[in-house]
Amino acid sequence: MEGIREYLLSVTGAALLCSIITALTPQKGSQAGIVKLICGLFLCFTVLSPILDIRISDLPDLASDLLAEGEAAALDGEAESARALRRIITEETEAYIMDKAEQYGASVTPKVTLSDTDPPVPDGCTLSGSVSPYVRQQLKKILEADLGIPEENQTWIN
Amino acid sequence: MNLYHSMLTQITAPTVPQSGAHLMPEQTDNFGAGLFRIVQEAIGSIRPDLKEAAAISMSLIALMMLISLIRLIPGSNTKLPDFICAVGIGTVLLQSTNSLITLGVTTIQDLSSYAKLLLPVMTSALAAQGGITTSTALYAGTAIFNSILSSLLSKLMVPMLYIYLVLATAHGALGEEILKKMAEFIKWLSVWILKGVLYLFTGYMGITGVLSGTTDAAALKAAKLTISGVVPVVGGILSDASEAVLVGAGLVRNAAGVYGILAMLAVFAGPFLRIGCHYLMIRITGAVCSVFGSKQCTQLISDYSGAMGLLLAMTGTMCLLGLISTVCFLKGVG
Repeated sequence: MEGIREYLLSVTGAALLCSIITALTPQKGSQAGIVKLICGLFLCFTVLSPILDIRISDLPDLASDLLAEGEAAALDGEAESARALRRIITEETEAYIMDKAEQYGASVTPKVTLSDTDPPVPDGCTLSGSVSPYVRQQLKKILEADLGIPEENQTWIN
Repeated sequence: MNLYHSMLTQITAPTVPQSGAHLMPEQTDNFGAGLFRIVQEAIGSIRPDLKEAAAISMSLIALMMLISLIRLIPGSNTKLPDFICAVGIGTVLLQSTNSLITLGVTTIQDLSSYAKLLLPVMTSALAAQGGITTSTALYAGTAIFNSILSSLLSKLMVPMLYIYLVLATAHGALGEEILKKMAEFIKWLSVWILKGVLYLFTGYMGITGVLSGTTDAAALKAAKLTISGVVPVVGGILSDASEAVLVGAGLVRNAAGVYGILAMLAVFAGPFLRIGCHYLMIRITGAVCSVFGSKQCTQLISDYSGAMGLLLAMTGTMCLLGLISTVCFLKGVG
């Protein structure tokens, strides 16, 4: 960018110089023609010579850095979405278990754990509360059939 | 609603910059009302600039009238009045032009900085809604064009603007055609650069949005199919949860996007109207002076208004880049 600015300044300076010189010289006669020719050649040289040295540089690191930043921001958003999803699944599953226990006249406090799969599914449950053996048996069946939580992953705390 | 608020604390649009804080509406829920408020406040704030522009206009008209009277004196030099006129016009206009260019540069920098802060927020919000490929592609494109444009504007085009004014003033004083041609070339080059960047950017965002949006939509569809394959009760819970997350993320994305757009407009509106009223006043002055002034001097006044027009185009392009990218993020997936 600095190079382009200097180029523009040099072209502008050359144009100003040429115009001052042509303004000061007589408008008619061979002298005027020679002055105009020299000014024109000088201006052409000033305009064209830096162009011959131009090398097109690529944007190597800028693009890859920005792409990495974009990916990091997208991953943040994805992680936030995954956290929210897990929170809702946990809350709804626990609410479902408490509803089922209420149907049998029992009150339990479930704590559900989710798998690391995508999407996450309930894979374990810790239930606390005082329930009869019959209700416990029914809830075990419901947890396994409806929610896919095997018996070995169910923990009961009285 | 709890989900929305909890996501909102993690994904929030950055606060409006200081330069636009006085125009920013308090409530950003309603975009139309917010926009109306910004325009209303911005128009109300340009009264001092109208007075200043009117004073400059009167000074220029008085100067041109005086020079016209000098020309009427028999035997007077034909070139000297033009020279004095050009110097006088430059003296009257240079200070206000310089302060407006500084204002334009500051506005461009504020818009560029704000866009850089808003980008990760919009990217996260869109990714939270399932648009991972789209958000990454849009981020990369916007960030690259933002960097290129802000560098071009501050390091190349603003110096070109000053060079344009120097060449225009020199042509007004000396009458040399080569200076006029150089000034016209610089003006053409500036407009061409701005148009080129905007066309390329708009094209990239449009194509990227379509291509990567298709990928994300397919991924979302595949995820739904996976959910439908699990046990019924769990499948129902998963489906409800996914829907809730998508809706919540969409609300967060829209809230951040609308706030971001209003913030950018709040930063842009005031300077745009200030530069715009100077541009219009100088243009009108040029038209009035063409009745009794010399062609050279009238052209110089038009060149100064042209410089103001270029400055408007530069700030407008920077703002438009930010607005287009935010709208692309708001469009979402599919």
